[in-house]
Amino acid sequence: MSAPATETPSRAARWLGWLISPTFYYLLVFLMSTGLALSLYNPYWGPAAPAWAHQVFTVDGAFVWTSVQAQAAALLAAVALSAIGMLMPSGRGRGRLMLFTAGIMLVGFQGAPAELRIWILPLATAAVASCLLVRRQEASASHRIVLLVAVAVLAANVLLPWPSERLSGRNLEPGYYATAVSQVSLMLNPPAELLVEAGVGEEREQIPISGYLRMLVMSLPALIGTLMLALGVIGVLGLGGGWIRWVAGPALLILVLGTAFVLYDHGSGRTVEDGPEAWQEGLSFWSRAWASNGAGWALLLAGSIAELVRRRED
Amino acid sequence: MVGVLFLLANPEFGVRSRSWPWDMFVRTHGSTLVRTLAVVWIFTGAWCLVLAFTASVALRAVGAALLGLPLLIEATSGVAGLSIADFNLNKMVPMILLGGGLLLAVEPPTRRAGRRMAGAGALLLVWALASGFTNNGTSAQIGLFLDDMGQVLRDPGHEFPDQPNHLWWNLVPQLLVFLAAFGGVFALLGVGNRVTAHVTFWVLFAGLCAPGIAGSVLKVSAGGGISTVLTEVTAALIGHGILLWMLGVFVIADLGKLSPAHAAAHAEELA
Repeated sequence: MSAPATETPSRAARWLGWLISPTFYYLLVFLMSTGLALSLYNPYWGPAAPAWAHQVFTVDGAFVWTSVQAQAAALLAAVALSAIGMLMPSGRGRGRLMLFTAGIMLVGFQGAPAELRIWILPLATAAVASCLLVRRQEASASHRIVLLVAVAVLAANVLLPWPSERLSGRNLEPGYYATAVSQVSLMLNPPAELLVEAGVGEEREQIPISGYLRMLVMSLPALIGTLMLALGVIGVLGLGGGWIRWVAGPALLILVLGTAFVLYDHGSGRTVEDGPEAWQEGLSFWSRAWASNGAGWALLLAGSIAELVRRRED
Repeated sequence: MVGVLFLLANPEFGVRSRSWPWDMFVRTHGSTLVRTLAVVWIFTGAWCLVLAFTASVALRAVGAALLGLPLLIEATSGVAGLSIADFNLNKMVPMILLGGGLLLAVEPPTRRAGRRMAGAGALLLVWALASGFTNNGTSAQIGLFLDDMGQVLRDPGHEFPDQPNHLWWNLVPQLLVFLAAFGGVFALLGVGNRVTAHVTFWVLFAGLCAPGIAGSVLKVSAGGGISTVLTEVTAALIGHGILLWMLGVFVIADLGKLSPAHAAAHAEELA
């Protein structure tokens, strides 16, 4: 008699489970795409927006097609397709559609992936996380292959140094792992010049909590990429239990929201206390996290891969 | 992949100052990145060659995917040493999906999945062509292509003074890629059979090879020697991404053989 009661998850567990589900990721993508469309194409908000998004395609009544219109079309497609993705039942069909949406955005924002290497870290992190989100009993045969390839790409990004001089490749910069270590060491023992630059004086005691928070958030991609690599290796070896998805899912969300915060904080240069104008500007920068730091792609990739590597329900 | 390095770096074929492929590893002033990529490149080719004759499809596909991914990613960074300068990932990934999907569509167990993949690749390819721009993002490449094709159709002998051999170098390859994309869309709609899938695959392949073939023919007709032809072939195989396209397509085809549908069909055949 007690078996069904123990198998039924509590309401809190169901809510937590929803927060690491593809549906929630698509909801975030929908909100970010809508926010970006509103902030870029809004006659009241945007810095150079003459019209709403759907009005961008015509000038004086005539249809125009330039890179601006192509990006607007891709963005509107992302709004529509992510809305459909939220409402569709979970399964491979939805996974395929969302992967296709990621492709539409990737191709439409042609200028964005110029520095593909910067993107590979959040994308590879998302790919590893998505495989770890799938319960072992639900994993299909392709699950291990995708996880292995994603871990290999992530390892190359985290551990290997990147050449700073792209054409010659002679000067090597530290890899993401070394960057994360140096960021943490800077946080624990910040040099005086950094404190002066941050405007907090030379006394270490004077660093506000927000200063530490900012430094922590700035090093999030490297820190969470390194964490995900460790989890991915555990997953490849088949050692991880049910706990692994409860670490991987929230870590991915922290990465996405954290990088969006960086963009807001960095881009607007204002705080919430500065009033509604700062919020509008902040909304614009936050939403641009979609395209400029790969957060939207990471969420779409995480959700779609998690659905595609699941065993068929039949 | 191994052989093309001898076309790329060969003092007898190409530019006289160039050295043999192995010389890049002993030069002290050489680029670390190019050396690393060259090792990955050679190892990928050797891996595919050795495992082509074994039954281990999973090992071959996963190994080729692991080795090919860094090459594909690095191809966009314009590394001078491997001459992958004109590479467009936005077009290449849809073309890999289209080609791989068409190969899957030929085999009965993976026909449905292949048609979907080919259709998705075709739609993304058309979208990539429609959202590609020149002149600071103001001139759509698809519009320029249609204008130029219109001029050629109205006047078959039309010359483009700014772009010599524009017809054979650019327009014909783009036309073939467009035709293949439409073939992929038809496959998605369920129109056609394995013959049309084969034909579409070869049209796409011809579209990829056309600039190299046209370049070689035009260079020979202009009095160029064997070295110029080999330079064109090298540019097509590496620079236009034919080899990476083939690698991606064959990885997809191999992964299709690992699908449950294929395994079930194989078991049925054995029974």
